[in-house]
Amino acid sequence: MTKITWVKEFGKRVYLTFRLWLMALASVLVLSIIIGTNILFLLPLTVRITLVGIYLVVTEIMMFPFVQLITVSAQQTISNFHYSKRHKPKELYLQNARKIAGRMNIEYNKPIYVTENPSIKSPFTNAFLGKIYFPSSEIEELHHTENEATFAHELAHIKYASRFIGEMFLASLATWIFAMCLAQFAINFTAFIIAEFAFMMFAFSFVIRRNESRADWTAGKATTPEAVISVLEYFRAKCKGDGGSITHPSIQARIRRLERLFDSTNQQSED
Amino acid sequence: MKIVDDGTAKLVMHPARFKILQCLSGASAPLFVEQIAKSVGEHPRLVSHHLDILQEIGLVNCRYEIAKAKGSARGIAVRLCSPAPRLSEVLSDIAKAVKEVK
Repeated sequence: MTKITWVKEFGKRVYLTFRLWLMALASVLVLSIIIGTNILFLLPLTVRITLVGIYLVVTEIMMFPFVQLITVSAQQTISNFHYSKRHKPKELYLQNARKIAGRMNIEYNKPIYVTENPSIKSPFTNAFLGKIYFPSSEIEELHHTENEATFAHELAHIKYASRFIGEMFLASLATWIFAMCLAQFAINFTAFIIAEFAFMMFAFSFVIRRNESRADWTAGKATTPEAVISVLEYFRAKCKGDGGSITHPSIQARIRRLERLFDSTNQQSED
Repeated sequence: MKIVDDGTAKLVMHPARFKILQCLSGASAPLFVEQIAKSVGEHPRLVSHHLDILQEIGLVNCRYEIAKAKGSARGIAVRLCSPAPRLSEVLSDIAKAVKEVK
């Protein structure tokens, strides 16, 4: 039986975001030092430091939604004072969790963290620690087949965590190589920053969005594509938007991709 | 309110399920899954999934019939759905709740 742990969720998500932000900061710092030593070595030291400083600030603000981080932190801090433990999830909803993990060939013995913090509206996974977090509201509002699909999606992130980290490393490497090559030809420093940043965003976004699509696909296969699509529709209605983001493809695109599974499962059943 | 207490409201408030219920409650005769899918603009398999859930909570009645189909001498099994007696009560409860909120 999968253990369900009830936790106060204060700061968990902020911590995760902060960790990612810190990693990005470290990589940009290293990159900036390299750029600084290659391009700016002809400039006086004070000008060089100023330019690198501006570059760091601009890149950081643009690369990770820093403002959003502050907003979420504030929102979580405020909501943490206000929310009370009124709702309890029914264990029935997650009783098949281990069965799904078995179907996906994953040994998952860690607890599933269920949070009632209202500022956390969707489930998420800390792929580095292999922990899954669920908002209690979602567990209560969705059917158990849909909760299983969500769980399968999060498990897929854990299953493919090492592949994802490898792909992120490759994306960083590609960005670094691109920056080094570009540094040989770039005359304008601003143009260089924009080009390098655009490439970095494109590479990281591609890898992260691919990881999401892969998780959808795996969850659809492990449970049913209908259940995964149903969850996506639920989120589309809840979030009142379908634009997609740097990290997630649009819900419509994800649904269309999952609908391809209908044909493949039809073929399997016919066989 | 009863539908809130027993968890029916939460399951009904899914956008696709709500559309399916509206379609069924407005129909004069039982509908096939394909007909519902066309009406609500969803994939038939997705409609089938939602119908399973709605049947489980007692809002929809489903039965299977053999229909004639090209290339099949025996015909194919099709799912025929009709609203359960409880549906009109649930929908009116929802309408009341919406009015109260407004």
